[in-house]
Amino acid sequence: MGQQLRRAVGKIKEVERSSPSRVSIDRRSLPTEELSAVKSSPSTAAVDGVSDKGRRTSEDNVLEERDPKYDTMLNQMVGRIKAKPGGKAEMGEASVVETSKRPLPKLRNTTPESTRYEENPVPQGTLNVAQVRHIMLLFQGKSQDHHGPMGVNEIAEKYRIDVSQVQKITQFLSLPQEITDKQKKQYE
Amino acid sequence: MAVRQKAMATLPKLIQSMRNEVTKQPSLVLPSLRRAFSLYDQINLIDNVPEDQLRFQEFDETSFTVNGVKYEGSLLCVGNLLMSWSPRYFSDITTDSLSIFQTVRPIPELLIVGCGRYNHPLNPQVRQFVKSIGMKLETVDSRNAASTYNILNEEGRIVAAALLPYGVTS
Repeated sequence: MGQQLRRAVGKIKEVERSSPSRVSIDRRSLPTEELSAVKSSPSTAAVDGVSDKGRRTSEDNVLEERDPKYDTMLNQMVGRIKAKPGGKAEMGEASVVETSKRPLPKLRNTTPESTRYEENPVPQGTLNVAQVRHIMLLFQGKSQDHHGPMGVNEIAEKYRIDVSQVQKITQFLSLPQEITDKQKKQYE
Repeated sequence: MAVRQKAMATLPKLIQSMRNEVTKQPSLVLPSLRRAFSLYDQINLIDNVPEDQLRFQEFDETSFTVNGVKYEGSLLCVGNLLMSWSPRYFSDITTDSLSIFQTVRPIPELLIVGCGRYNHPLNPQVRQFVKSIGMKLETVDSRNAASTYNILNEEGRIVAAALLPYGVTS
């Protein structure tokens, strides 16, 4: 944009520079008229010949020196202005802002309550985390509400799930040996 | 003469259009400052952490330290429950060893399996089993598994982790 403005202004200056030459040409035309006025009274033939030559010379000068270039320049300027009002957009200009297509990250507000799903009610035949913990304690005989270890069948009956599920859970999982007081208190 | 008149008539219009375009420039909209801010500023990593939220803090060849307590052997984390996991080698990971996820609700969104020191692809049968439950599966080494679990659990996602000790190589 700025560059194109400078180019256009430069061309305008060229036009302004060419205008004095036009003025000079106009001044040249005036003397010819005066000469013709002065010479009109003596003889008509001589006056006609002189005026014809002068006219041809001025016309030739105008056509040869100025018109083609000016027309070309004018067409170029008008074309540019009409086709691209703002010029070609380039990075770094104020009007050009790179818009990324990547969506903004999803907003997650984490609060202590947002992780409270361990004790939510669950459908029939499934367990929540607190119940899994209780099953572990029952199986290992560390539960507060039952004395001694509880068998797989009893646990399955109590929580109404398949015996095979309880068997697999107790086979591959167990509470760690070191249980902190916090965990015990939470359970109680 | 006609061409000259045409040029003289067009010149003022050109000058006016140039001036108009110059005046238009200050009225252009400046770039927005939206990118200067980020939603990541709202992520809180320090305050308001639940006391029972599991967080892997240290690890060595045979154990993990979670919430200040050292646990030996393989571990399985579901919610805020930490359990010892019986598989000791990568080949011991079977569908039965992960059958607890068939019963636990809500189903975790993601299961992170820590394979020990090196990363191994899981058995297609196990992979299909986890997929049938509805969980996504991520298999990485135990070190990255612990850190990934920490980040996702901190975010509040329902994520589960099954980790072999870091010293396990096969």
